[in-house]
Parts: sequence; C-alpha cells; structure tokens
Amino acid sequence: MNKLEYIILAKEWLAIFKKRLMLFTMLFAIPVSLSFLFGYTMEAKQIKHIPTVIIDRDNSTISRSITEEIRSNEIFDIVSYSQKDSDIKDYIEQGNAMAGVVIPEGFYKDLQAGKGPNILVLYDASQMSIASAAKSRMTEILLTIKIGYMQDVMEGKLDVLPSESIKAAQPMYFTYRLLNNPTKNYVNFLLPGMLIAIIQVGLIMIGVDRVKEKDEKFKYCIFKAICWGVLGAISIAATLWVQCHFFDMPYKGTLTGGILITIIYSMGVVSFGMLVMQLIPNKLLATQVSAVIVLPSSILGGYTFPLMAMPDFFKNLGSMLPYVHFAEPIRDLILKDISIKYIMGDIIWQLKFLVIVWIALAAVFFGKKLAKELWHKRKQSNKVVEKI
Amino acid sequence: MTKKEKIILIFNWVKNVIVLIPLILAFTFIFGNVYGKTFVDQIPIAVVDYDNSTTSRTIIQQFDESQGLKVARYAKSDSEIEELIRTQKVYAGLIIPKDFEKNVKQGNAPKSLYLVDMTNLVIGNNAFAYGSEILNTLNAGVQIKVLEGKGMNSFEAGKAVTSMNFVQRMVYDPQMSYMKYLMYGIIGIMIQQTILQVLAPVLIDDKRKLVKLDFKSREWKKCLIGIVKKVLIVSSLSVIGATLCFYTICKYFNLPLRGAIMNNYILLIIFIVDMIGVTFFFAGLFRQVLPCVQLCMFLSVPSILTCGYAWPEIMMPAGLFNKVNLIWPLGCFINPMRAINLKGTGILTIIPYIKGGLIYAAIWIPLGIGFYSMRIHMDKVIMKKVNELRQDAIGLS
Repeated sequence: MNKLEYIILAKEWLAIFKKRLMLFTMLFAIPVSLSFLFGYTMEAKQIKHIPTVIIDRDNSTISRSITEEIRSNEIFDIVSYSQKDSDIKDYIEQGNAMAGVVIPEGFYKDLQAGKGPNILVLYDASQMSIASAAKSRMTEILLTIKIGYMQDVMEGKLDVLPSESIKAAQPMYFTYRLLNNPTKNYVNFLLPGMLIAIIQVGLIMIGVDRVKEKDEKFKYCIFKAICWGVLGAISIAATLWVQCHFFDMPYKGTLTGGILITIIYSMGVVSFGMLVMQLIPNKLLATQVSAVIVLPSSILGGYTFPLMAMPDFFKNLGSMLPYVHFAEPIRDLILKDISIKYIMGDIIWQLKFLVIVWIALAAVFFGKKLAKELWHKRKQSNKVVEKI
Repeated sequence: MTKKEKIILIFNWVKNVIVLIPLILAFTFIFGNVYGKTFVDQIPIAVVDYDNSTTSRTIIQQFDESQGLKVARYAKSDSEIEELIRTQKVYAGLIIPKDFEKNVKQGNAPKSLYLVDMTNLVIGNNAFAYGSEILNTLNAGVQIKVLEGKGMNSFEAGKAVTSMNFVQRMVYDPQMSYMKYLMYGIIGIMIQQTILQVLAPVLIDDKRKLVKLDFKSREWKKCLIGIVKKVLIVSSLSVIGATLCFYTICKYFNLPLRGAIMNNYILLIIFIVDMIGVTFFFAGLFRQVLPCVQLCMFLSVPSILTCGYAWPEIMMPAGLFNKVNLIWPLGCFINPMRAINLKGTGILTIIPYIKGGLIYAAIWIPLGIGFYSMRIHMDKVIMKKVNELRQDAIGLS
C-alpha cells in the first residue's frame, strides 16, 4: 500500500469515526452534559433571596415587626431600607430589586384608630417565577401578622383569653397541603421536560440520519428503529439518572412503567424521523423539517403553560404530540409514588403512535419501491419500443 | 454555473428567506395564540363535604362560582380526593369536616383542608391562589359575625377585621401572563436559530469553494465579496423578520413595547453581529453541512435555560451568568429586551448588556473568522499534499 492509499484509507476511517462520534454526541454527550449544566445552573432549586426594598415610614413597633418578619424569611433579601417611595420604582426598574414594601406614615396610629391603613407591596412581574414566589410568601407573612394583630385586638378590646382569641381570629381554620412537590421545587417541575425536549430533537434527527438509500428491506428499517430506540431510551435514562444521582431529583413511581414508556416513546420518535426522511429524500432538508416539527413540543405540549388554558385548536393539537404523553407521565413518575396503571393510558397511546408510524413508514417504503419498479419497467419498455 | 446548480441555488435562497421571515412570523402567531388566554382558569377541583350544612354548601358554591376554579367532582372520602388528584382528574381538593357549621358557630375554629397538586407549578400556584383568596374572604365574613357574637357592634367588628389591609400590586404585568413573560425570549431564540440554520450552511459551502481557489485569484476575491454580501443579506432579513415579529406581538397580541424602540434595535444588531461570529466558528468547525445543522438544533433549550431568562440570574451560582454570557450571547439580548418592553427601561440600565454584547462580538468575530480562515488554510494544505501524492502515485504507476 502506498502513501496515497494510506491517506485515502485514513480519510475514510476518519469520516466513519466522525459520523459515529456525531451520533454519540447527539444521543449521549449533549443530553448528559446538559443535564449536568442545568442541574448546576438550577442548583438553588427554589426561588429564594429575592432582592427587596423596604420603605418603613412609620417606624413603629408593628412596622418594625413586619420588616423583621420579611428580613428573617429566606425568600427575601432586603437590599435597601429607604424613606423615599420613588426608590422602589428606581430599584425595580433597574433590576436591583424585585419586590418592595411600603408601610405608610402613621400606620400604627391609623391601625389603632381602626382606619384600616394599607401596606403596599409591589412585585416586578416581568420575572414571573420570582413575582409568583414572592407574592405567595409575602401573603403568608402578612396574613400571619394580621391574625396576630387581631388576636391582640380581641384580647384587649373583648377581654378574650389568648387560647380563645386564636379561634376568634380564625373562625374557619383552613390548612393548606401542597401535594407531590410541596417545596415548589422548580427543577423537578421543569427539567425533566426540558431534557426530554432536547433528547427528542436528537432522536428524530437520528431517525432521519439512519435511513439509507440502499435499504432494500423494510425489516431493516424496523430493526434500526428498534435498536436506535433502545439506545435513545438508555440516553433518556442516563440523563435523568444524572439528575437523580447528582442533583437530588426524586423518582417515586414505578421503574418498570418508566422503562416501558421510555422505550416505546424513543422508538416512536426515531421511527417518525425515518418516516420524514422517506417522505423528504434530501437529508439536510429532512433534518431541518423534522427538528422544526418537534422543537416547539414543549410549548405546544403544555408542559409548563397547561393545555387546559390553551384555545381548543391547540388543546387538540397538543394532545396529539408524543411529547405530551411522555414528558408529563415521566414528571408524574418523578414526583408521585404511582404504579404502572396510572400511566397505562399514555403507554397505550405511545404504542398506538408507534404502530401508526410503522404502518405509514411501510406504506411510504413500499409505495416508493413500487413507483421505482414501475418507472424502471416503463423505461425498459420505452427502450424496447425505441429499438423496434 | 450549470442550469441545475442555478435551480438549486434559487431553491436554497427561497428556503432561506422563508426560514428567516415567514417561518418565524408563523411561529410568533402560533405561540401568541397558544398563550393567548392570559389566565389559567376553570381548574377542576374535587370536594368532600362531610358536613353538608348551609355553611359548607356556601363554601363549595363560592368555589364553583369562581372564575378560576370549577368543582368537577364530589368525592365521598379523603382517599377518593387523593386518588382523583393522583390521576389528574382534578388539581385541588377541599375537605370540609363533619360538624363544621356547628363548630364555627360555637367558635371552635374547625379545621378544613385544601389540597393542591403541585406537579405542574403553573396550575398548582393558580389553584392555590384562587382557593386561598376565596377562603380568606369567607373567613373575614365569619370573623365579623364572631366578633358581633362576642358583643362588638357591627361597625366596630367590620373595622377590626379590615383593620390591617395589604394591597399587592404586580408592576409592569398586573395579569402575570405567560405570554408577556416568555414571548420576547421566544423571539430571541427564533432569531438565533434561524441565523444559525441559514448562515452556517452557506458559509460551509463557501469554505469548500475557497479551499479549491487560489488565494490571489479573481474568483477568490469574488467569493469573499460573496460571503460578505450573504452575511449582510441574512442580517438584513433577520432584522426584517424581527421587526415583523415585534409588530405582530404588539398589534395582534397586545404585548407592550414600552421603552425606546431604538434600544431594541441596538440590542438586536449587536446580537446579530454576535451570532455572525459564532456562526463563522461553527462553519469553521464542520466540513459538512449536516452535522453543523444537527448540532445547532440542540441550542434553543439550553441557551434560554442558562441565560438568566427563564431561570433568573439571581438564582444562578455566582459567576455563572457572566461565564454563560461569554460563551453564548442570547442573555445580553433577551433579558434587556424584556426589561425595555415590559418596564420601559432606559438606555442606562441596558448599558451593561450592550457592553456584554460588544465584548462578545470583540472576542467572537475575530475568533470565528480567524478559525474559519485557518480551516480554509489547513484544508488547502491537506488538499495540496493529497494532490501531490496522487500525482506521485500516477507517475509511479
């Protein structure tokens, strides 16, 4: 073998290696490394330390106790104690604070006089996750203070015993219990779906990539869909395992059910990619089209903003996406101690989707083959006619 | 150029124009409609009424008549409610205990339980807010009656209950709509993805051409001018696409554009320049178009999740935000863009982001173009070597 042949051989091997490397990157390297990156980025898990401005123009015992309650709460970080109302606006506008509390002058006096003074709380709603967390905790703090104050009023004005005053201040005692994600852990809510959305892009592009012109038999297509589907399922499992192992994400539900739905879903998406490639023979265009089809899934699928709040058309469209019937059950399995029967509906849906895609794939595959044969026969007969 | 090549070229550019303008416009309409309903309302809940009294029925009626919640199921036991929540037939449940009314009247403060499923935080937070608002209002009404029962006159009782009020105000977006929260970011992502999808393949194709051309030839210069032209065309089309998206969200989905429009364009142009630098780098990295396109498809979700937009900057580990901004420019575009349009933020507040974008461009434009040029040079050397060896082999044979 001369030097040129060596170089050509090396080039061929390099091309094969690059191809395999790209597949490995799409299937494992990107999702797993992003799982680490997201876990690190969102290691705080809950919204805390919201920069808050306090304007206490009353400076009374009660106003100081309100300030102290806010200061000692982990959700808020007081960044400024001010006397000027305009400071809140400036701080929020410049992004230096995201909440502000204004206790007006004469607050305590007005309270005693029964004038019903108002405490004004402002939130920067341009950052929804922060505003929502801040509002919910601030409401709790202020309600607790209010109930405490009412107890004092009753004990003072009505001579009610302390044990009785709490009942009078809260004549209907409502307990709130947050199920499945009681700490409002943002990571457990968001990341499973986001990671699945990323892997889904890889799976569909692998489906497109794995279709070859030389594929003579349909069973090879199905075999490839199964093999790459299983690899895709391993990738999903590895990506979520990173979250569970390194970032304390729970997994409370059935493992068997989780594995089953993951394998079927993964095969379905790979097969769908193959179908797109059968329909659009240009690999580059097929890759772009298939990715554009699945990229908006996390939005259209109602993973965060729920389907129930969407117009009917999008509600129906969303419920037809395989992502919806996978990402949500996986989040349920992560957060709820549920058995396989709770996700059986979604497993059956994924199975139906897989069968439909395979039927469509078969129809396109054999249809193309038939068309090719007919074209070939016609060409042959034309040649014969020409000869005659 | 053959006729076939011309047709392919025209087809590619038609495809590129469609991607850069009508496609992102279509997605703006789609997402605008998806998030069109501002509120998550009519959330199904279940109730168990062990008391079945006038008071308990009034409470349930309040829940059912509220805009945010609807009583979808009447359960018979606590476990049935928990099961309904587990199967996601309802997202919250109210349990009213036995003798509830009797205990309220006797001042025994009976305990009721409001369960909320927090699996989906958006639904859970809304169900919690609607439910607690109803219960607090009901509580206030009963408080007045209790105080009257204890000998206070109704005026005094009313004053005592409403003695301490708090007014909570959501600045910039009183409705806390998901559309206002996300739409600016989605537009940024779409611009990012379309520039990558269109420009990277064009640059890779031109790289292949440049490898085959002589440095000093007229074709080489022509090809370079062609690259500059293509970059300018893609940039201009991106600006047009972004302008139409802004117009659409403002005109059809009532999203505010409060600040100076010019500031949006300053950020947009810097972002496009940043993206050009990155695209040159990608085009240098890949010899084939397909793997480059495949890799670029992965970038939308990670870029929005790590740039301080969806997960706020203050919650990220110290220093990570700045590091991310050195690797990817999206944060310097969509974060200030949301602030400008929702808050009406002025130029002074967005200067750090402008600086960040310019620093990014100062690093990545030379890096990207330098890497792209280096790859052309390297490929030229390799091609030359292979040709020499081929000639030798032909000579030998």
